[in-house]
Amino acid sequence: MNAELRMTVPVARVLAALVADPTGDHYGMALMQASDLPSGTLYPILARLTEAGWLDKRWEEVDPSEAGRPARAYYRLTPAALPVARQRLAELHERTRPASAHTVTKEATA
Amino acid sequence: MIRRVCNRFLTAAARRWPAELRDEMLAEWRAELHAMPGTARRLRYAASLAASRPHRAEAVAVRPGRSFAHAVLSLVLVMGMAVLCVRITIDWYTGFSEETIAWQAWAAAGGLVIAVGLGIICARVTTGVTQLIRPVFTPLWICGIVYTMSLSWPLVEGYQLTRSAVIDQTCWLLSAVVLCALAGRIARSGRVALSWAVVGVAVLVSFYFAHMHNTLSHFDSPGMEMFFDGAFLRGYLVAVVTQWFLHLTIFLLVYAHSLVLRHQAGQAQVSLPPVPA
Repeated sequence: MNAELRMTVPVARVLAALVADPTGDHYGMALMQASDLPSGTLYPILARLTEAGWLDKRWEEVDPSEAGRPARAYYRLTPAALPVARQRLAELHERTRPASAHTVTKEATA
Repeated sequence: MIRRVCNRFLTAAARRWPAELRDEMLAEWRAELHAMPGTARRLRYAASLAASRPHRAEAVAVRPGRSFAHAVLSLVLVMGMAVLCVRITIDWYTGFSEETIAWQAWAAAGGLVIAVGLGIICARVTTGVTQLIRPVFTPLWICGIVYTMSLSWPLVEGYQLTRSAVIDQTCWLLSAVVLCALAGRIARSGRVALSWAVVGVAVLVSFYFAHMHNTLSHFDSPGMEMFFDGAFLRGYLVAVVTQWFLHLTIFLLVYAHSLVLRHQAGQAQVSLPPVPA
């Protein structure tokens, strides 16, 4: 797994949606809703995460002719990526917290 | 209607993705589109994908130097082929006799096959031309070289260009370019065999136009029938196949169309299976 993934805000949103239910299977439309990203932004991120080894992609096991619909693709964080994703999200959260709140927290813990 | 628009958007989006991911992504998008409620959401979903860029570019190495070199090589090949055709005609087909007419006819017929082969081979070694020149303009580029040569040659040689020659050559160029561009468009829609048939028609039509002020296009007796016991058709056919410009036209149009086909193959068209309702 490539841990050196560039963490942009859209990537963080997608990871946050995946981390929220780490064992669940996520499909494109649900991730669009959870991350509030358009499809044109979401799928390149999913492809990048998959190629970097952060995501497992699998196809729904359904017979399209029986189900009357095509099989969907599901995404899930890999076990190795889950702790890294949590850590990177926490770091990002830390960096993007308002300065005053950051200072107050530091003072309170001092 | 909406489904068709969405399908077009998805196909356009898939074309920009790396070739190895296209089919997979297209299947995934179609499945999501199928499950998506509401026309507006479907349209937004498909349009967003169509307007976006993939996570990495298609693995196409853009090498302007190579494309330029191929264009120059293409220029040299076309000019060389034109000179070669004239040279062979001067050496082999300026005089006919009872003893030589048979091998001359067979050699000319073989020359037609060789012209096709050379056109295909030249397209293989100059694929970069269509990176520099849009495929639709490839026939104009290739035929334009010969057109320019044929009009400038009399000036170089010091004799006056006749009006009839200009008309014939211009009609040849226009018919060859238009029909070959049409063949390219037909090939783009997947009908490759039909596109080659159009190239065949382009050869005949443009050759006819190139000889509008010549007895060949009037289907007059070229005087060759005397070698075939007065059989007009055989004599006429030999007179046609020994024309250097026919060989050159075949080479040019096969070359141009092969370049277009190779370009289209490189683009790896995305198949369009029907989207379930």
